[in-house]
Amino acid sequence: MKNIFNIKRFGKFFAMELRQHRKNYLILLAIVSAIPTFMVAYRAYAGRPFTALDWESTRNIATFLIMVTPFIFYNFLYHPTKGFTYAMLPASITEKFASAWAHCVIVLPILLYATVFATTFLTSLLLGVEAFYQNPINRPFFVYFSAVTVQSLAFCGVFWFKRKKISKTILTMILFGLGIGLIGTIAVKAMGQEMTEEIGERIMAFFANREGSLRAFGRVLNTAFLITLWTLAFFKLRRTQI
Amino acid sequence: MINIQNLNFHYKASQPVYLGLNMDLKPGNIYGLLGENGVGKTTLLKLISGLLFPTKGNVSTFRFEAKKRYPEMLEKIYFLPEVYTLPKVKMSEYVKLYASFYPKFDHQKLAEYVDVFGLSKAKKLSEFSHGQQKKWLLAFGLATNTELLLMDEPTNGLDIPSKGLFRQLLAEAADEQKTIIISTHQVRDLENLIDPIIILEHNQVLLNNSIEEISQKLKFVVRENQSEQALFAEQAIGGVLCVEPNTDNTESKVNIELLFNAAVNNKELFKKLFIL
Repeated sequence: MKNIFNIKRFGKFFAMELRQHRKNYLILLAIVSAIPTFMVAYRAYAGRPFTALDWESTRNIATFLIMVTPFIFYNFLYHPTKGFTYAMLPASITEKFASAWAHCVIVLPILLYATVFATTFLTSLLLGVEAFYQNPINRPFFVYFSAVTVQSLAFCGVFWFKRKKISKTILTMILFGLGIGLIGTIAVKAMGQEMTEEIGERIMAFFANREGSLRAFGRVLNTAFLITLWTLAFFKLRRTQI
Repeated sequence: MINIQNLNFHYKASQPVYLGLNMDLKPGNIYGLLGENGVGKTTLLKLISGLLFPTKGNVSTFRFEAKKRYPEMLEKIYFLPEVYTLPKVKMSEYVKLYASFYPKFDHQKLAEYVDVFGLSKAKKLSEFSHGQQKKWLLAFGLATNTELLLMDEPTNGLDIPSKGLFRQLLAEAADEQKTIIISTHQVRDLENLIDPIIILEHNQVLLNNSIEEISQKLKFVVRENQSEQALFAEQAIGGVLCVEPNTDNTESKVNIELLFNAAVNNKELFKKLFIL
């Protein structure tokens, strides 16, 4: 068991990666601090409030960065020299994976969203700009979950593909989307209907406004999707050869 | 310590690197791993460290299946690769990042090695020359005090005084608990250090014997002309260097370069002499 997971060694590995990636962390934090500061300052200059839409835009920058984090942090995995050092470091595959997961899925998203919120809140307070944050306060978990869901594709892609990770991940996402679309079209046709724009919109609305048991089913499906991709990434890491 | 059983490995199915390789490597030795380009010297080191997985068969390192890369195994291995990229950090930062993963890491020894190699603590590792980077990795590797040191062409890129220092430090670091495996083409750099010698040939091992065993079976002599029984001969100043079967128990010093050439030119005979 001590060769599978040891909390002390995991902590050491996690701390080592935090130290190793600290420049990346600082750059990402600087980006998500600078943009809201600039936007609030601009609103102050224009004499307009910082709207919920403004907030969504700044928050989306953090979301985008969260989605691409795996490519920034773990692009080297199959690199003949950098990947070599990583593979030879005395920590188990589970600990290495758990550390990558904790950085990408827990630590960085929390830090980025907290920084965006804190910066916006403080700068608007300092500059006397009226600010609205209805969206994030009402749905923080939804925002986080959505970001992490898209990120899981990047997370899996960075572990799965040896070369051209970004383009192959994007291509996979497109193919996946097309596959889902195709399944939807076939399902609609099977029900004796033609797939029109209107039906498409109705399907989207159905899933967006789902309630009760359907909503719970959606969440289970989403969670299963995430866990599947993380599991795929883990098994790929186990099979990684340099 | 390292047990290889019936190992098959290939990058492409049509070009096997190893077919049914068996090997048992014991502690207290500095193995010299020799072979022509492309015979799989680096591949073997990677299989031993678990960086590559056997297609068939088993590689066991410290009784662990190497490909599992268990931490208990990894903390006993330091692998100095031939090609490397060092991060843009100073050596103190590098030590902070990685040293704690090796339970027997000796900070005092590292400081000594750094002084001996004359490395600057003020510069970032990425700013070092290729040779200096190698010296740093050697210093760090020796300071890890691991039981298994894997070195892929360790003297490539080192200047002449550093090669001498390397030999000296390695000889000092070697003990009964350690196994050191050095893959090299620069046999002259490591003469008097490596023992036993492993010569790899495509898919197989031609020789895996101690210097003593080799000198019992072969003799290395200088003759005026090439002898008929010579397995390999090379013109040199003062005569012809010959490798011959040691039928009369002559004592001679093993010339590794000649041995290697003799082995690759007499594969079947070497297998009969040393393996079968």
